[in-house]
Amino acid sequence: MPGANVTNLTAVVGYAARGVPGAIVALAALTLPSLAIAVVLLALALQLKRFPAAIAAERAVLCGAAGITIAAGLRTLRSLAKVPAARVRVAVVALLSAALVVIGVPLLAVAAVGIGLSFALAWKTA
Amino acid sequence: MSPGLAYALRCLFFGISAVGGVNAIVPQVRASVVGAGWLSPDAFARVVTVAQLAPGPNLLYIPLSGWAIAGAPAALGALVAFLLPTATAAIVTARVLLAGDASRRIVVLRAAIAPVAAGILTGAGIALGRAVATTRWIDVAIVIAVAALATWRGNTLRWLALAGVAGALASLGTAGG
Repeated sequence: MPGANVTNLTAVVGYAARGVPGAIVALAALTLPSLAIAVVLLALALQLKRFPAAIAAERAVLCGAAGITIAAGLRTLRSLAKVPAARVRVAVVALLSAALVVIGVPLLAVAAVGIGLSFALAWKTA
Repeated sequence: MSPGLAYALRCLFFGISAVGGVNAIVPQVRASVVGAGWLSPDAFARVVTVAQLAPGPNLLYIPLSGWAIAGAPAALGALVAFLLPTATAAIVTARVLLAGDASRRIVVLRAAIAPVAAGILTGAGIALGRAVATTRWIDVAIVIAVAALATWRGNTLRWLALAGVAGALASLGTAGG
């Protein structure tokens, strides 16, 4: 599913409990308090703007976020590769998807191509 | 169209393209807001840093970018625009999956999506790294080091804090030396 995993889950659970209003309340309760905290933190961070070291730290954290995102993908692949029969399919599909994203193909197109190929391969072996 | 409204409208699209999770679209969002001139590269880096440090879901950087662009209305507009299509899709999918029997097609589809999502995440991380770590060697080193460390032990906040400290120290070293 596209979207954020936690918020998707929250929406589904909220909906199961109280329908559409439940989903809205659950999503608001998940996001708004942390958004308020983040807004305050952002105001504090803006005060640090005149220190070059603070700007360097923020740039570095964005680089770190790139590393974290790479790692999140690799960790999932590592757990998927634990099933020996699926290894080749996982490697082919993941490599293709990653390469398409790196060269700048839009995510929806990558998802369509990747899931199509992956489904065909999985269907044959399942 | 005001930047806040334009950004919120783009969030409709960001939400549905976030296959692999909301972190997969950081490069896309960055290219969008920096390319349109709504935020400077440093301002976007600040938003992502704060969103990572604040407790809460990964998608915080989406409304927080809106806040940095045009305040509270843009933040709420971005949040709703991002969540509405994906939450609806998630609820509909969950109902279909829970109502029907676990047919073979759905089982295969679930197994098929996982490696694509993982590949997209890995690729998105590399794309973001290529976009932000362009000139300075320390940036490239941080991308690679954090990727390796977080693959080894998945404590996000610890490695991001380490990255921030390393970046700050490196800048002090350059400025002083």
